[in-house]
Amino acid sequence: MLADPSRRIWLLIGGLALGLVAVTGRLGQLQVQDHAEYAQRARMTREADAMLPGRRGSILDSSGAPLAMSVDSYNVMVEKRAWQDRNAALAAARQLAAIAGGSPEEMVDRVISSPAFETEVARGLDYEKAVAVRRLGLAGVRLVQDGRRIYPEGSLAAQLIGVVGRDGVGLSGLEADLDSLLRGEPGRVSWQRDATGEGMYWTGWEEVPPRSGADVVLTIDRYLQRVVEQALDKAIQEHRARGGSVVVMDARTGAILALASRPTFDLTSPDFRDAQAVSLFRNPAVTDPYEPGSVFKVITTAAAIDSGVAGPDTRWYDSGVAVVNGSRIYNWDFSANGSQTVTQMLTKSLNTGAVWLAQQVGAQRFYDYVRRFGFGEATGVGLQGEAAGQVRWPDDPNWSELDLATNSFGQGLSVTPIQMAAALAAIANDGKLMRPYVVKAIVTPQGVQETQPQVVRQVISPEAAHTVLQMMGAVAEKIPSSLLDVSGYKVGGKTGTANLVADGTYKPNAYISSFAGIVPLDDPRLVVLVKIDEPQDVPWGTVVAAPVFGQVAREAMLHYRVPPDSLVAARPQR
Amino acid sequence: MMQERVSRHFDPVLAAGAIALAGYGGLLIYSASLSSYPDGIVSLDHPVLKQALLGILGIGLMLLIMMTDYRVFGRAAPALYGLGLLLLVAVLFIGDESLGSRRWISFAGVQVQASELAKLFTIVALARYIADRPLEIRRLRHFLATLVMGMVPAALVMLEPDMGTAIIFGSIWLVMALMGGVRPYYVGVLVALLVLSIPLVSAAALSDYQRERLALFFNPNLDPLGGGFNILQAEIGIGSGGLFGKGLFQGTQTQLDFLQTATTDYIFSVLGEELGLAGAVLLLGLYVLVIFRCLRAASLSYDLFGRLVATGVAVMLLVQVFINVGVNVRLLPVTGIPLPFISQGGSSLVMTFMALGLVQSVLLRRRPFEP
Repeated sequence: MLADPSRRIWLLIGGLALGLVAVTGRLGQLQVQDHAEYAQRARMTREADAMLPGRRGSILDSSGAPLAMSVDSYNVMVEKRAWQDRNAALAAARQLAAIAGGSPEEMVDRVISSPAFETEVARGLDYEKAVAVRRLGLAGVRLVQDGRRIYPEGSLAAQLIGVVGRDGVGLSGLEADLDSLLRGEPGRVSWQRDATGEGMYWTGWEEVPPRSGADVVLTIDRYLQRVVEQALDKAIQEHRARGGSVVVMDARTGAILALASRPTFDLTSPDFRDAQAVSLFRNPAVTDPYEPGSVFKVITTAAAIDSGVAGPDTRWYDSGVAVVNGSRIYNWDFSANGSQTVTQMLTKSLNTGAVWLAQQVGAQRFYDYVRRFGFGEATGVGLQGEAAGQVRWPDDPNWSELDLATNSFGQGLSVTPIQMAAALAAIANDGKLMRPYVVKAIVTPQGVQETQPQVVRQVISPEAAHTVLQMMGAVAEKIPSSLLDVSGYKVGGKTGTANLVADGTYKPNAYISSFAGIVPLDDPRLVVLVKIDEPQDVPWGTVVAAPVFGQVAREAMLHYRVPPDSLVAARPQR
Repeated sequence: MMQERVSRHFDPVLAAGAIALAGYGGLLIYSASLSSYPDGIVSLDHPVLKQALLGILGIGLMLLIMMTDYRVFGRAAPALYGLGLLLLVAVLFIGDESLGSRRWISFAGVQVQASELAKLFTIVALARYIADRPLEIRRLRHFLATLVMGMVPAALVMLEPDMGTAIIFGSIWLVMALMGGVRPYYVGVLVALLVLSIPLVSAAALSDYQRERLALFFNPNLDPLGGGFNILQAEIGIGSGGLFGKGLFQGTQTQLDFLQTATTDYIFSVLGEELGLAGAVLLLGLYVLVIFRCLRAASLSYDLFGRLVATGVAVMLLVQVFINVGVNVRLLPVTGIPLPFISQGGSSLVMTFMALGLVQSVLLRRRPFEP
């Protein structure tokens, strides 16, 4: 065929056919076989999108003042490609660091060593700083909108509010418990861009607006909370104590007006380094049970009065010792007081009297009251990790008469501060136990959802409650005014000193001093439970805890403008 | 008498195919320049308008050449060839540089791509040389002479540098020499030598930019935002076009300026994206039609000279289309070759019409005596 030049035309035609097959084959591959992939790549080349952060809801105090709130902030991202030349990158990083802070060398190292296309070099910049960064006009540097949590009251109520992680998710406290409410719904914006990377805002602009999270209004009163925390700090310092908790509850509703514990942490820059630091995020007032000690005698008394086995003036003979199942129980001061009334049992805090009283009530009825006052189960205050406390009930095979005896003066069982406060509030509230709560209202764009006070049950009769209240007043009256003085207001209370239980045994020379107070006595408004852990000088609740109650009660009465019971001029403070 | 020849032998299919291609090109240039001229044709400097004027000039020259006896060009072949070489040498010294390459010469404000004219002149010269020696051409001496005739302009365009056009010169020589009757044995030896020298050539003769283009051909992702950018964008554009395309003026890669040199070297990608496989097949069909009409002219030619001229034009069109489309679909490494009739650029358009004028002239005179 090649021999005849006139036939060589077929070579050319063959070449043409070959070329056609190659080109159309390739076109088929690109446009038919792999079309979907290329269509996707074309979309990716021209489409850009960004997340619009949804603002996290605020946590507000009962008056609406923010305790934790989110503000817009900006994070600085740097594209790795733009920082390939180290000297140029350092120059850029120095300009960034001058505005955002941080070390330029570290910024460059982080960007260069990162496997990612883009790396964050600074975060949480406010608007002015973000504008300053943008004005630098540095290549490859981009601002990403974010939200930052700020705390106008500092570390106030730190454990209750809780911490938020870098990703804006609540990690502890109410931030974690109410995360689904507080968290906003991020929005999304997508647009088309041309080959220069510029967005084309007149076409293909799609926006799903972000939704802000709900605001949560707490029952906490920031003023009272501040007063409580200062009084608590002062007592801990004075008595070189390890820590403590204070619960202030509205006696009529169960609303928690202040809730503080020590030791605490810096809410504004939480420390996540070790387990020790992180363990401070717990809220011990609801998570850590303790032995209440003599404060519990109020419960024993209430059970006796309500069941009618004794009145305030019923007498019994104090021989200084009570023998139960062969164990001998003494008074705290090893005293023997002879013939005493029930009221005196309470004022002198006689263990032998409490044992006698509980025995009069009888185990079945006594534990029925304990249960009805809410011990042994969580109060349902709405905080994660709330402890139920431990009570050995009579149907427990290990229960014995000795449990009844020790429980009568608050030993051998454990309660949480919030349980104890709620039980005492029932006595202050005509015998009605209220469910404690910290969330007053949840505010969403759809409306405000307010928490209604909830009666758990009528624990004792109103009459019995009034009687016990007056007996608590008698207790408070016996406390020297140098330790407890709420000028103009009658108060009721009960002290407690208990051995600290650690690892299942009593820790030697370690005490928990507590005081439960009610103010004003005749028309109770507040119940305050003060608990100080391991004071080093004296263990007595009267000395350590009662002054905290006094200070809180004084300030609270002024703050809530409660009219005084009597027109007694305030005595000058020491 | 001339009118009779025209009415009897003029190939209207060839002319219509060429004009259809030019019109198709105008449409694609319009689309590809929409982002620069969003208001359409409102001023005289719009590329489609310029292209249309040059198209009319090209058709005029085509008719003029058609009316001229092609053998006149045969007689003038040495002079034309010399002029072609002169232009190629001159462009190296006084040419206008653009994108790192000297390809254009300015005459009184008009830019002419020297190699476009030289291609046509070389076809004529090779045809004349072979047609003068219908038997002696089998000798090695004449084989080598044709080789030199083809390779000198090829070497000159390599210096511009313009690798693609050099390959076209080579292809024109190869096919015309074979059609003209050189011994296939010599061609075989030459091809063998070329294959053996590939390592040597790639080491010594390939410049850095050519080596980079080869590397990017195999993997455009080596430099996706630099040299590989347009390769990827063209591929994405064509691939995303699918069977029927995104619609004329609707191609996102084209209209959002992702694709560069969309009116010239990469105009096929505009077509692939906006009109899809269907549009591409239509274009390829028109080319096949035009090329086959040229081959038909070659087979009908009265003499060897006419046959070789028509064949040379067909080869030139075929190779140019294949290289340009091959680059666009990433079958071939990047090299800047215009798509005949379609790409924006006057020299190519006018020269291609002139080439078809030669083919028509061959057809018109296929019979020495008309009854």
